[in-house]
Amino acid sequence: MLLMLIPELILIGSERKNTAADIKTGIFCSGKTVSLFYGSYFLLSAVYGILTMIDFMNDILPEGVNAKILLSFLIAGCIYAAVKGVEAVSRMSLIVLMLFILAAVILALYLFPGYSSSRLIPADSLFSFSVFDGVVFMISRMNAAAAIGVFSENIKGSLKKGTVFFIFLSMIFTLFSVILMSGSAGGYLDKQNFQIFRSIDASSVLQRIVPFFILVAVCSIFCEITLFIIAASKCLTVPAKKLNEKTMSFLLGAVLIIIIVFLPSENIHELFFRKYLWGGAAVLFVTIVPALILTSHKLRRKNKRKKRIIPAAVIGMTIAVTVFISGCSKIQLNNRIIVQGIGIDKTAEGYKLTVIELDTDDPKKENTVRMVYSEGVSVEQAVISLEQQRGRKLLLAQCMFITMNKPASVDNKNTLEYFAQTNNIPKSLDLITTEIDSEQTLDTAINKLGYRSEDISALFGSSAVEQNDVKCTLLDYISRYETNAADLSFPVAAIDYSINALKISGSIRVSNEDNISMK
Amino acid sequence: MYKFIKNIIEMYSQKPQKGYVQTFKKLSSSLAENLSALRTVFNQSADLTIRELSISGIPAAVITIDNMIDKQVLGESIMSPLLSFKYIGSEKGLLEKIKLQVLYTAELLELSSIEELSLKIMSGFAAILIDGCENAVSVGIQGYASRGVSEPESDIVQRGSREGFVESVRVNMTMIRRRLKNPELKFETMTVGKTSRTETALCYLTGTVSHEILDELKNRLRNIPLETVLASGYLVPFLEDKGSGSFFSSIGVTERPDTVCGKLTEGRIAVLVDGVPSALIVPYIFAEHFQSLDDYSNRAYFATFTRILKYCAFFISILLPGIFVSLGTYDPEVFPPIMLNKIASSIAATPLSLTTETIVILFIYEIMREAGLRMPQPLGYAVSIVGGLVIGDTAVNAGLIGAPTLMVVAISAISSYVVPDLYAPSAMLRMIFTIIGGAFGIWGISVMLSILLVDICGKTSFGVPYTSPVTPMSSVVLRDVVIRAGWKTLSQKTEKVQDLPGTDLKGADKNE
Repeated sequence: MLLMLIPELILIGSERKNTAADIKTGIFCSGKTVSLFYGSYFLLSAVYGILTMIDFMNDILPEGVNAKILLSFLIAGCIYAAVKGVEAVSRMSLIVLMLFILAAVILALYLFPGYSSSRLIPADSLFSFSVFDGVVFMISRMNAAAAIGVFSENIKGSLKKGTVFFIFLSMIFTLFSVILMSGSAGGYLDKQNFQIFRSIDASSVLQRIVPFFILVAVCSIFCEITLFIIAASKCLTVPAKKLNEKTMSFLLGAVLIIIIVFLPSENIHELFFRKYLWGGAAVLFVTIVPALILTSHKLRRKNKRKKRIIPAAVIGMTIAVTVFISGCSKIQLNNRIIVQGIGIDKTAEGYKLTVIELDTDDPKKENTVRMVYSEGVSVEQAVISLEQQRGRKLLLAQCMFITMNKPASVDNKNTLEYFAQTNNIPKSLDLITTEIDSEQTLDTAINKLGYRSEDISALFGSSAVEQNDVKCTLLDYISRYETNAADLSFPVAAIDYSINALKISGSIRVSNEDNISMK
Repeated sequence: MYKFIKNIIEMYSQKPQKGYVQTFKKLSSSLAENLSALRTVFNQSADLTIRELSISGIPAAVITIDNMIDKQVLGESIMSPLLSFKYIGSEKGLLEKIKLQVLYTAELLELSSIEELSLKIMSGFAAILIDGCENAVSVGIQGYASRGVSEPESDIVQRGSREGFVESVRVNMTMIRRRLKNPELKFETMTVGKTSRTETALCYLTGTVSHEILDELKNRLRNIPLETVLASGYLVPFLEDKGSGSFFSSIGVTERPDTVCGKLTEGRIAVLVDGVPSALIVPYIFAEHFQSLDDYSNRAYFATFTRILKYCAFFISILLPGIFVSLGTYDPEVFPPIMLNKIASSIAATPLSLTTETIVILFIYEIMREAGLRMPQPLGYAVSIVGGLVIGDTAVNAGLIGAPTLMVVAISAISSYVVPDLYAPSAMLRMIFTIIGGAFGIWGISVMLSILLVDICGKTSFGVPYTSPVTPMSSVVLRDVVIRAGWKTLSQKTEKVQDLPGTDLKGADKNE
């Protein structure tokens, strides 16, 4: 989008009377062949935007939401916006830009003061994405907001004003990008990724406002796709003279919905959107070719006919159908096991899982817990078995600690891999080794000694660091396998029956070679 | 099925007939013929009063509508002078003499057609017809019973005038004139509605109004095809720009004459409709829904605070239930642990899913609100008690609905009253966002919010962008939109509505 402004910058001296919209219409609608070509190009750009969104959504979309129906809803919205006209979208983009600036300020406030590269994990880690990685996508997609913001001034405003706005925003975004990149120290240069975003996982405040970031990203993508649909319909009405822009927008929207619903996204990716090919095409088609057209042709002014009839019934029906077809297949909160803590014991047969679950069955008893158990050949199998047995899905967002018996601690790579790959688990949860079996330790601590999950977490968490100097979190575990550097040290928990209390009895160190040393 | 769809398409594709063309029948020189024509027009209506008399031997008649006039004024200012007047000369000369020397009243018009005459008679004028004259004289002696000026019921301010508009358009015009003692203030009257022939008055300041907008407004009013206009809401769809069909109205409504005066000084036009105790204001932008007269009476910092509060309340009212449902259903990890525990316990104890439960509570709330609105006041209190205590408390205790959900709906409902102008869109959008939040989570809400934004951004009011001056942006945004600057800053320049950024007055004729 930003690249599209370059031809205007070239023309700043000679085309003062024309708005950027006039110039673009002059370039892209200058002949049947050129218009057909650019119409197809803009349509593909819209497809690319949608496919990028699919990638994003596939990673972090909640269970129970049908991505294709949601995308159809998005495209229906885009068609509605396209029919409203480019001015409406440009006005909206300014609001999106304001939201983006707010999001950027929040990120800056929370990330930079407490920034430490040691807390970061590469974004392309071997583990799957978490919800919060969506922010990576958001920032990359929200760059479009800058261009759209510029577009706002360019629709009807002067070229000069638009250019000043463009330069101003470019400077802000460049500055923001430099801070982000330099903030991630050597990690960015070494690994070619934006490590900074992963630190959001370590900030509970940012985790809570991730829906806001998603909102900004979706609004931004909405504007981007709409603009491409408008551009494509404007271009394609030149060869297809019988159709007006409104009808063309509907047709293109229908084409996009068909592409989304019936074609597997991977094939389209391979066909059209090879990384370097698409980037090169963007530079060629929106800067070099327009510049050539501009120098060889005189701009033709055309009467802008404003066609903004809103077929509310059609749009309404589309939205209604998408909403109602989606059904209600999501998981309700009462069908979740709200996990507060987990104990894992490695046995000869496999793994035994002890889960401390919040008891939500009796609303009058607040914050009471119960313990549930399962077994499996792997941790994942044990979890599946537990979910089947209870008929509910695990919700790990409130999990405060994982305790392991010594064999499980030694084999921590296999023991913890499932949790590292699972979405929505707090990466700051504490990892603890138990002197005897986790099941017995947790059972005694909670059922006999009356410990709460918070007490156990506090005992081995941040408050324990000063006394013990040993603390291990899931984030440390993930970092260890990313960097392949440091060994892991787990605090050891044991029941002291003389004082009837749970206490830290020492620590164990597990080396890269899976050797264990006690302290 | 095909025929049904075809009929619907045909029904919606039919263009409404524009306005109506009125034909005028000239008055005759014969009194008998004129009286006969009037009796025909009024279809021998019981309230038509024709008092035939003789003025120095020349037959004449005074025609009125019973109870529309002040009988004392009729007797003292018209009948008595006419009957005691001595005249020698032609009939045409008599009419001139009556106009200039006989009648004591100030409001006096000479009319030449039956239609004009009948309209005036129906508006509380007394008509004087003289045999041999092709013209008639109408005298304004309106005296019908009307409600006194009182405090408006919905547009209440803490520090400001207690006067609100009444049903009589003339009284309303007076209330505006009293506040703007400026010769630039102009009223233009016209008739709307083929059957009701309702009097409407356009009110503006000639020096500040945009003449393009004024002409367009007159054009739209002239082309209204309605048979009857019994409330100002009848006119709103015909005054909005084409393509502006959305949740939000681009025509302002106020019950306060002081608010109208403030708008007139910014170049806006007020439309007063007879029989309606409120005025329509055009053009109207989105930010105006959040402005009230109290903002300008209070100190700037407090006015700014309340304005931010209003914006927050509006977004809470439309988004809170939807976000609550979407987070509770799809992203519960966003809730803090203790809150999550309480919400989970509540859901576990109730039979419905979170989405269904929220929609049901919203629906019940709207039923109770609508019931309370239409009932006599004493019964309204009873409904509130039944709704608040019996249904709410009992349903929570019985475990039918969850307390957190009820609280979310209650907060959302209360928030929607902070900006009463926007209650209707808030109520509908709240429901839509809840359904979409339940179906698609925060993603669906994001898409729906995008659609809503583009809907608001795409609206114009007589060529003025509805979202101006936020987008397109101008420095005004810093003075009187989200924040309210002090009077010293505001008084430096009064921003006219036609000067707002992005205004395209040539595009104002989008209603065509």
